Amino acid sequence: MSSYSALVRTHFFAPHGTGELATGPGLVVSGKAGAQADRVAVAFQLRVAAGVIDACVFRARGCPYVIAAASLVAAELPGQSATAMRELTARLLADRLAVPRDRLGRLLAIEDALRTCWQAWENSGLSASPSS
Amino acid sequence: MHKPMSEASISLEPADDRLIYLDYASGTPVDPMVTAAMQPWLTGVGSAANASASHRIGQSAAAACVRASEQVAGLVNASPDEIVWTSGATESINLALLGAARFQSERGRHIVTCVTEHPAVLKTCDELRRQGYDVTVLPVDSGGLLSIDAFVAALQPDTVLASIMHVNNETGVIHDIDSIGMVCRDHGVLLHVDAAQSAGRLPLDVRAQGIDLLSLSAHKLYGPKGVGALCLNRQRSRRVEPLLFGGGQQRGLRPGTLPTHQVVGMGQACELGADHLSTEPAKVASLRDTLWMNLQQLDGIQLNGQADQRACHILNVSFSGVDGESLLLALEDLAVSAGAACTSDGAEPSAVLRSLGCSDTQASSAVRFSLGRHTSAEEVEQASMRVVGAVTRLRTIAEPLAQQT
Repeated sequence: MSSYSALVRTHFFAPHGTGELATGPGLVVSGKAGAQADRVAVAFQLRVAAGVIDACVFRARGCPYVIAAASLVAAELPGQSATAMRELTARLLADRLAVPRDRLGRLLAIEDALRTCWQAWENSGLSASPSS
Repeated sequence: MHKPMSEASISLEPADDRLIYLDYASGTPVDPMVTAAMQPWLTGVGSAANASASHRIGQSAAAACVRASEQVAGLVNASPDEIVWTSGATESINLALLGAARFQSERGRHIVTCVTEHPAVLKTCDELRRQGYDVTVLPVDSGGLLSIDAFVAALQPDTVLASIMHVNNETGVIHDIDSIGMVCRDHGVLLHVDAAQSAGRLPLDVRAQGIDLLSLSAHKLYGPKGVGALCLNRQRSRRVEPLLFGGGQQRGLRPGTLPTHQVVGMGQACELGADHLSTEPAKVASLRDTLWMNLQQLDGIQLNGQADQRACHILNVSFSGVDGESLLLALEDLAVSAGAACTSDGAEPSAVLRSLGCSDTQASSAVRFSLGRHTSAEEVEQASMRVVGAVTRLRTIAEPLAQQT
């Protein structure tokens, strides 16, 4: 078994934001991604209000790096501008979590799921209005 | 701010962090009686004694090694002079396959083995292939069993050697060595059996079972790491070419100074294995069955390997909707394996389980539990609770994605 960083262990053993978003004001966007070959599946739900991410939850199946990375996203995106959805990359997450190079590919599902969320946000027509 | 409904409600921290060891298939704790037997050869002049030396303490070491050969031979119904000491089963297997194939090369260059063999066998066969030998690797059925008919059909006029493990190290499935031995005898084919997982757990009799070459490892049967043995059944007048060259010890088959303490430890472990054979396997099998029964409170689990043809100590289970590596980390205070410890880095699904027809997803969610002499009923209950809890929590994180992959 790999040796996991302290941050991976923290997020793996006590993941943030697992589950479904409760109903409330703001726009909820969702996106999922996964690769059967990598045995990874990830889904995010984000609530965006006034151009700011208000809440983020996830579902994830995969190795500890995938679960930890999804948890890190769910912990850190709330409070950030909606553009964070497209700016957070697998490489950034891998650097934060000290993910081995040969596992980097597994985090691409997280990047893809967030991009899908971003696309949904853009398609909503609300992305142009900071007061939406 | 709307909080996610289940945020912070899921923790994968084990409630009880006491380590429970259920990885006996990768290594067994050294029995205290083994440690005691080794002790005189680890301290003082005993630790200096070279079994090849002519002085009194050297001869004393030589006598201890002979006694150890008798103990190993006793476990498998061989003669003491048929035991060759090695560094472990991997070396025994290399010596058996490379040595026998080279010795027989004038007679034929075809070898038969099975897809679920340990990498020590498969990679040695790859090496033989590179040296011009022809190797047939037989498949297994969904239970991990080798068809005797397919084995017979694979034999050719130039087949000189077959290598079939007794008990699979990942699934615990028992191959029908008695039948395979009979076929080999009838066809004039040498049979090598990797008995690393079966020694001390199933009866072994190289004479009755028609085994020509038998590989053993001490650390799988409560002996020390770093020592093993190859048993050469001389009743069939067979020889193997040595792989190492040196001082002529062990009749030149495996030269090098014998590590007296290791050899004595393995001898003692084999004697204990023989002593426990009538009672221990039944006790361990009962605990294994309890573990399996307890795990069945979970939906979506699959027993890997033929249920009614398994050694007592191994239980291999796939948990749908869960990644095996995540499960292992969630169970870090439960010493279990994903696949085999010999090969697993946690990243790739088990080739053995794939050969049984498991999908990548099933194979990657598999955990091998292996029990042994010191496993208690309380540990099995604790382990069951931890596994059920961890699988449930990981599935909660994954649902409904788990259903889609």
